[in-house]
Amino acid sequence: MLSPVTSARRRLIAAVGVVLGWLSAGLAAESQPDDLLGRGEYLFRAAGCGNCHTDTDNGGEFLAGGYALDTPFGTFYSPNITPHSEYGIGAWSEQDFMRAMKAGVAPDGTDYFPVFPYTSYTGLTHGDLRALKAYLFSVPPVAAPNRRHDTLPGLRRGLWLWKLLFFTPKVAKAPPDADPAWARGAYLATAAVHCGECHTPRNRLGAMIDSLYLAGTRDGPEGKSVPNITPDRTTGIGRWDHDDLTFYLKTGGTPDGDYAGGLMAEVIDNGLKHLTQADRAAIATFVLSLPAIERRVAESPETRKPRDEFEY
Amino acid sequence: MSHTVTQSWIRIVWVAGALVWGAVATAAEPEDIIKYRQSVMKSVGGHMGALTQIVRGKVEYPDDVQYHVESIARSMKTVLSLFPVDSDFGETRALESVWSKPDDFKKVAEAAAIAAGDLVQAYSKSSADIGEKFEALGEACKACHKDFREEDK
Repeated sequence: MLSPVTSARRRLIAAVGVVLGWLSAGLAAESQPDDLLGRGEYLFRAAGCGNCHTDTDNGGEFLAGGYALDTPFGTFYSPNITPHSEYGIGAWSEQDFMRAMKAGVAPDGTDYFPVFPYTSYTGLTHGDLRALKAYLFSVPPVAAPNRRHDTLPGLRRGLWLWKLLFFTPKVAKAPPDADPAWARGAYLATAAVHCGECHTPRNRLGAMIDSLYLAGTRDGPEGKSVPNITPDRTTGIGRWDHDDLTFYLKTGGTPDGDYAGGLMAEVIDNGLKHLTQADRAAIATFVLSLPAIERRVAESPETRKPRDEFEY
Repeated sequence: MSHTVTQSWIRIVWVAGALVWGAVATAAEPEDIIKYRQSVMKSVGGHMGALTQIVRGKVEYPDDVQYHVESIARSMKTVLSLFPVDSDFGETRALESVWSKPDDFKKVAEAAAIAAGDLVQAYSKSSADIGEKFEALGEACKACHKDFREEDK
C-alpha cells in the first residue's frame, strides 16, 4: 500500500514529467514543424530525396525517378517514389518503408544497391521516417515506370555479400553526455543529410572508408571531385569558423566570397536553406568537431590551387 | 584606263590587307580572355568575400561598402562579354552549357547583374540596410554556378 508521501511524490514527478514534456515539445516546435506532414517535408528536404529522385535536367516529374547516376559500377536510374500504387511506392506498408530505409531491402525481399544511401538513412528515427512516409504519400502520384539499372554483370548477385561486409543497420544514438546541439547535428549530418555519401572516399568495392570520413574524393557523383570538409587547415575547411560554415550551409557563400555551384548548390537550394538556423548551426558544430584529416583531393599538389584561391 | 584599274586593285589589296591585319591584331587569344575572365571573377569574389565579413558584422569597415558594391555591379554589368565563343576550352571551369544553352546562361548572368545593381541601390537608400539584397546577390551567384560552372577540378 502506498503511503501518502509516496503518492504525493509520484504526483509531483508526473507533474514535472508533463511540464518537461511540454517544454521539450515547445523546443521541438521551435526547431522544426510539429505536424506529421510538416515534419516529413522538413526531413525530406534535409535528406535531399528530390535531388536524385527527380530527373530535373530532363524535365522529369517531381519524385518520379529516372535520374541517371553514373558510377564505376554502372549507371543506376533512381526509382519513382511518388505514391502511385503501380509504379511508385503507393502500395507500400509502413513496414515496407521502414525496411527499405533502415535495412536497404525492397518489399519483394531483394536488396537495394547502396547507391540508395540507406547506409546513412538507417540511422533515422522511426518517428522521422513515419513523417517522411506521410509526406511522400501526400505528393501527386505519377505513372512513370522505373528504368532498369545498367550495371556490371553479376553485380546484383554479390550484393548480399557487400551488405554483409559493409552494412550495419543502426539506430541513431548520441552518447548520453553529448551536447544536444552536437547530437542534433550528428543526427542530421550522418543520417538525414548524408554528407558522407559524397564527401567520404570509397574503397574499391564502393563502401565508404570510415577512417576518412568527409575527407573528400576525386571520384564523387557525376565523376566530379568532392572537397575535403574536415577541419584541416590546409586541405579542408579548418580556416572556417562556426559562423562561416553555418552561413555557407544557408547561402552557399564561402568566407572568401565564392559561391557553391553544381550538386552542392542543389543540396543547399532544395534542402539546407530550408532548415532552421539552429539545425544548420548544429550541423556546423558537428562537422567542425570531427578530426582534421590532411588529404588533398586534386590530382596532384601542382594542379591544385590553394583552398583560398578559386578559379572561374 | 589600265592605270586606274591597277591603282584600284592596289587600293583594294591594301585596304583588305589592313582589315585582315587589324582583325588579327585586335582579336584576343582565347587563353587571354580566359585569364582575364578569371581575374575579373576573382575580383568580384574578393569584393563579395570582403562584404560577407562586413555584412555579417565580423569587421567594421562601413566606408568600404560603397566601393565593394559598386565594383561588383560594374563588373557584373559586362559579365556576358567575358564568355565569347571559343573561350570554352583549356584551363576553365566554365561548363559547356554556357555556350550550348546561351539563352539560359544569359538569363542567370543578367539576373546576377540586376541583383548587383539592386544592391548598389539599396546601399544608396540606406547604407545600413543591405543584408537582404546582399543575400539575393549571393543567390544569383549560386544560381549561375549551379548550372554553368564546374564545381571543383
